[in-house]
Amino acid sequence: MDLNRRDLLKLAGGSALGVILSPLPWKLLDDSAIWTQNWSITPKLAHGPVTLRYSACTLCSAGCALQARCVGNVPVAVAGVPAHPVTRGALCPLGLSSHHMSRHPLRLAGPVRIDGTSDRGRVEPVEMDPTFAALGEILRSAGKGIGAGTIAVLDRQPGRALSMAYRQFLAGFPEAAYLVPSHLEDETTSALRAMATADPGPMGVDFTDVKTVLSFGAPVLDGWGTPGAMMELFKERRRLGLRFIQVETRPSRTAIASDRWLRIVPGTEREVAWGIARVLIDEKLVPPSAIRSITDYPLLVKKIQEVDISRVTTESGIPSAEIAAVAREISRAPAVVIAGSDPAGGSLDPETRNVIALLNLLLAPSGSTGGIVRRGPMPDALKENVRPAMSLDTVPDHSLRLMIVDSAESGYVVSPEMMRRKMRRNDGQIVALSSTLTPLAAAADFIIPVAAPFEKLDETPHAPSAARESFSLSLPLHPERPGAGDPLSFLVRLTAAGDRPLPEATTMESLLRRRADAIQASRRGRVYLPSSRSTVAVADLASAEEFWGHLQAGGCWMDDPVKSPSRVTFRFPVPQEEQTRAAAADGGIILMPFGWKGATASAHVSPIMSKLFQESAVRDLDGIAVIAPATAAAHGLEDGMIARIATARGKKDVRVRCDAAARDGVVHVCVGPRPNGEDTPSSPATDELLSLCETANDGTWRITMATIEKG
Amino acid sequence: MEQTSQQGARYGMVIDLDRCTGCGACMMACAVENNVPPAAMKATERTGITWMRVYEARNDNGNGAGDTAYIPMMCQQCGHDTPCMSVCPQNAVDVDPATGIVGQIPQRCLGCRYCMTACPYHARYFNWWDPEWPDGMEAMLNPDVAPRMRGVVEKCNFCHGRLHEAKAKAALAGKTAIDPADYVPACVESCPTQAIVFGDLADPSSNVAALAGDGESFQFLAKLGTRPKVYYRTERSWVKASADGPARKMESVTAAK
Repeated sequence: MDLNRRDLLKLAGGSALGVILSPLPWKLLDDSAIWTQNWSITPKLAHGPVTLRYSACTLCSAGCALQARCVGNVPVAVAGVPAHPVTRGALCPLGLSSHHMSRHPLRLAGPVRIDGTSDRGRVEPVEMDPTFAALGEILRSAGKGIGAGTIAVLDRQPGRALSMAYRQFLAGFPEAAYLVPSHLEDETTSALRAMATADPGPMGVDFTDVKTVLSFGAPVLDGWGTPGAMMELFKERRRLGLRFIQVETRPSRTAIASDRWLRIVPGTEREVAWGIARVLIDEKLVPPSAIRSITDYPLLVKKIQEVDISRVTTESGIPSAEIAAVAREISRAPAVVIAGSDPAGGSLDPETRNVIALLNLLLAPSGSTGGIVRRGPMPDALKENVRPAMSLDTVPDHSLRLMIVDSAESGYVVSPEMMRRKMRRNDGQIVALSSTLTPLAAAADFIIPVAAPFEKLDETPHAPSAARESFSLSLPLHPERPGAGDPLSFLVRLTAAGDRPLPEATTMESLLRRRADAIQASRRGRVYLPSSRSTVAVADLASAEEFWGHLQAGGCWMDDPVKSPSRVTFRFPVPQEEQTRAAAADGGIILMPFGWKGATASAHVSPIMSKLFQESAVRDLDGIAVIAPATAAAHGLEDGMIARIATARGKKDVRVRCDAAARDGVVHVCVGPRPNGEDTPSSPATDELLSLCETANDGTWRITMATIEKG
Repeated sequence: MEQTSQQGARYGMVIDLDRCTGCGACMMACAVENNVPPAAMKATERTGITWMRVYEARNDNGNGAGDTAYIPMMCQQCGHDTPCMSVCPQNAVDVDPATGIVGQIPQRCLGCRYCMTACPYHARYFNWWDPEWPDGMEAMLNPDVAPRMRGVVEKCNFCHGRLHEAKAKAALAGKTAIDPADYVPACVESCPTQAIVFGDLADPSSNVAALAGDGESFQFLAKLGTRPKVYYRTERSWVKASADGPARKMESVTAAK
């Protein structure tokens, strides 16, 4: 048979038609469709019954109650607990995505050693047993006595039952230190407590019937204290006749939302506070009851009358009329004056905190509602066999042999430089407990991984400034992850390795149960039950078991207010020296770091927080430099440009954001998360900006002299 | 096309701008509820996905003093001549006559982005990349909301999944009408100052209808005639005055890339 070209064409055409009429192409299409619907990127969603479970966020010191919608035991969404008497049903953006933290891309899988010799420390996995053996050796040496080195624990959420366990552990060493940061939102009450002639016990801030909140730098409308309660005050401020006054250099959220914003020259909070005190004295606005509560009142008056209001105006940039108006306002009706810290800018110096705290004493004696009140101590607060708390900045430099950094975050940055400065030069070791590779953990020598939020039973933190104690459980929502225990299990293992006595309670459940039993036995306070939105008095509970049962169902205990007014008097420590302040050199600029509470690093927040940082600029990313347009122009900069900031300690590139509300001559640079993916487990972020700022001996780093130019 | 119905609801919102502090809780709650993925490393303000987005508006007198308002902006659920629906070549935009909700159907969308051009509120977002969640985090997605792939547009739909859940609950109880307390969008639920009020604008007994109709509330770009179902309230006249201006006057404070 001869085949010609036409035959071949007929064969080809017929074959093509035949294939189309066969199942083959349709099978290929079907398979392609199935394949595209099963790409690895297609997420697999949770299945199972839908339940509602109660817990509490532990990402910062506020400890907001939450309810989690769980599908097949997997939390898929969280929300605030409606009508909660402490947290008022609110949850901040961090809390709303807190259930993601167990799967954070910077989650630590095992213990690591940090080689901090490069700008970004190198992370090396290590074995757990040799690490504990080495730490145990340090403990054995430290237990032998003087000169063997001081053992310390840095606790950023003091007051917990675990905090008590740390303090008991440290009490077993001849040289030991239980350390807390100097800025935990209790700056005002701590200052007052230190001024008291007899210890009044714990103190808090009560906002009942307050008509003015005067804040020096505290983010009262942006995460301070119990955010839900503060937001409720803000919502009802017109009805309550409540006003907010913010004294701050930066156009922060709180400053912008306040009824009056005193945009001060950087570092002049003390001057403004003295100025207000001067007006209170001159215009005889101090009530007799307040005068009686201050010992050496005439000496104090003499000091205050030395304040030159015109000099205050010159230095702070605030007109004298405005200072007087503020003084008159806070004296007219119940007011509270708060000294605060910027979450990344650090605290005010101790003397400034004292002057600000003093304003509360000049307005009313402590103990009355609508001001600084006494707070009943936790029923299980121990006074013996525990190390007293001391501020990190008061520890002598280069004196610590071992520092254990607890995993709980306060929401405020601790200066890594300050932390390292306290360590002995040759053999000081820092061990950080953390679930993710945070910048502070990356400044340690070793990191031991611990459970992420909602993986293990934990205690809910509560605002250090709260007017009353509270207690609830942060109940697990996720399954436990092998190899990531809680800090108590670390302590148990460490004490075993170091031949030290074991803590009395060896599991978190037994530790928290002890606290719960002490509360129930005190018969104080009430328990809020979220499932029924009701409260029951502790005194009406039949047993400790019943109380524990309520807590395990999401209940929250709130103490009774302390009813008797304080009879304590206060002595103000009159400073002997004038404050000196550096000024920016010609062409220079003042650098002030800032941050948002709880969100000062990628490792602190869920990747989905990119909605606020990277995808919308509702919040500033790390390295955004907020600068007034005139100042930017003077340095040849424009909005959106890359600039280089230099201090005596180094340089950093930043991105300029012009803001007309910023003060001339100042650049506010954000310490915050980086864009998703920029921080990796093998290359942890460090606080590059903070390394440009020198941390002073009093623990402050608010102001640094700098230059800025095009990058 | 009018979207009211004799028997249909008209779900809408009234947002009190004097209560909004710009905290962003609404944005986070929305993203978690609706399975909006985290930003890709290359994503920017222009290419990110924020169904709910808070803008900062400043009334600046040039001296630094002035006033700032935070404005939560999402799909305004336009009720008349819905611009996005009228331009979509794929019928991927559907206005439900029973609820008035402007729905987006990703399965029909071919990604032409014509609707994004048509939307005067910049409330529509395009998936430039396939969604990616960190390893294991996808297990925590909301199973009531389908994730979207790259190449399609998405936007706020008043938490449609919660509406379905409320309907199912009503049906199980033998009712036809849902309990308003059972249908609360995530942004409304999460706002710490209760700045957002949600409900049926067609129900004269509802709080949202009372607030929307009391003469104090206003709509953005009302002069375009889109009849959005999202209203705003404020005592600040400069904010009201900006509501009719071009969208670019309501600047978001940018971290320009």
